[in-house]
Order: sequence, then C-alpha cells, then structure tokens
Amino acid sequence: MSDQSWYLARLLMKCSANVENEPLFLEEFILLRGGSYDEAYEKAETKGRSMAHSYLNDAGGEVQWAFQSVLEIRRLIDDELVDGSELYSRTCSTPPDVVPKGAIG
Amino acid sequence: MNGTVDVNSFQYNASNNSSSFTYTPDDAPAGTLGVGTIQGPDLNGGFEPGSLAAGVFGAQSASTWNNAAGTVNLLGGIEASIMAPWAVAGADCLSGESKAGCAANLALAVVPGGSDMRAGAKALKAAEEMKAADYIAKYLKGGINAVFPGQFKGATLKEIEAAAKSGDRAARTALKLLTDGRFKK
Repeated sequence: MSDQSWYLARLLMKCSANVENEPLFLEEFILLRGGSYDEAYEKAETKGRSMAHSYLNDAGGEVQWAFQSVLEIRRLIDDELVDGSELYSRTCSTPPDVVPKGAIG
Repeated sequence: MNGTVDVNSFQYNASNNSSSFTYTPDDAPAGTLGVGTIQGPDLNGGFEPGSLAAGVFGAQSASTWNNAAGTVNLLGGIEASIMAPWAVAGADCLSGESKAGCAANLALAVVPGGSDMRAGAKALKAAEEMKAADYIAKYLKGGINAVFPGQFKGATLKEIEAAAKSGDRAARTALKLLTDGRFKK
C-alpha cells in the first residue's frame, strides 16, 4: 500500500484590480499528492506561488493575481480517485448559494 | 434558435403524413411566427428519403441510432438524450399504430422536453463559437471587464479553452471568470 495520499488544498489568490469598487479574490481548489500534511502544505504553497500572473485588461490596465495564502489542506478519504470520488465537504448553518447553469457550464 | 412552441398549433396532414406546428422565436419581433414540420415515416414502404424518420431509424443511418426498433447506442450521449422521446414514439409506430396517431405522437414526443434539450445543445454549440466580448455582453455583468484578460476579448470560447488547456495562465483565468457564478446576470 502506498504511503502517498491525495490532498485537496484551498488556496487564496487576490486580484490587484477591483470590481465595482470591491476587491476580488479567487479561491482555488487544488488536488495534490503527498506523504503527509506538511508535505502537502509545502506543495500547496509552491503551487500557489506558481499561479501568480498578470496581464492587461481591455482598457490597457495591468491586472495582477497574487498568491495570498493556503486556506486549508484536507486529506481525501479514498486512496484512488474514480468516477464519483468525494473531494471536499464542509458543514454550514445556512444553505450555500446555488450557482445556476450557464451556457458554458 | 430558441423559441416557444404553440402546443395548440399541432396539425396532421394525411396527404404527406407530416405534422406541423408554429413557434415564436425568442429574438424575433413580436408577432413573428415560425413553422416547424415533422415528417412521419411511410409505414407501408420504409422511410421517405430525407425525412427525419429515415435519418433516425433508417438502416443506412450514420446516426448513433442504428436500427428500426430504436436500439440506442449508449455512447451516443447527448444525441441519445435528445432523440429518446422520438425513438419511443417511433417504436410505437412500428408496432402498428395508425398513421395519424403515429405522426402526432412523433410530433408531441419532441415537445417540450425534446425541444428544450435540442435548444440546450444548440445553445452550448453556439456559445462555444461566440467571442468572449459577445458572451460577456449577453450573459455576464459588465464588472468582469475590469479584470478580464484583454487579449482574449476577441477570441471565441473554444479558442480560450484550447489556450487554457495548453497552459496559458491568463486563458485559464479568463475561463474561470467566464464560468464564475459571481458575474452571471
């Protein structure tokens, strides 16, 4: 049996530009392979830093996405990922918003 | 094209074994009517060449449907979903219903569920070919423009997805923004 497990990492990215006068964050869910929580955490930080990037918007303004922090590392229950694998769960006191289906998903 | 079918408009024409209906296109001026025709099968001598029945149930059909009993190739995916109601009605026809009943059932089988699925498939296909700027204008809030990669505003969603899959970081962000519920109108 492998000593490696699957981990799901939640990363926080922050955008340099505001949208309608409010800051914009991006929460990334990343699947990682690791032998321990600490190893997964390190890989998550490395991945987060690698995801920083920038470009110009339509008006020519620079938009930067910077890695902020690792929000959470969670080890998956199952060792093998298959159709229907459970990746992440959390409890809440109010139902989360439903995101309606869009034309492109 | 999206639209609304008038369910009271269905008519059967015994002279050519077809059913017709009218519909109102969503994007057309008020009062504009379209006419749809569904050609029924010729139960006495196979299927009329070029008819929908021939396309679906004909022996030479290149469709994922491959026999007159309505056997479904499960790999057909979306086509199978769209055509399933038609197949059921078609199979009933083949078991000996009258032509009139058969054609009416074939027509009704595709409305409204089938028409919804067809519209959905067409919308998905149409969206893939839309340029990001047009997609944003139609479906998303204008606020997204402040953070959307300018180099992809003139690209189609299909092109953006291809660039994202190749590893382009800005393209990946573009796709994430386009599919984020926060920006949907």
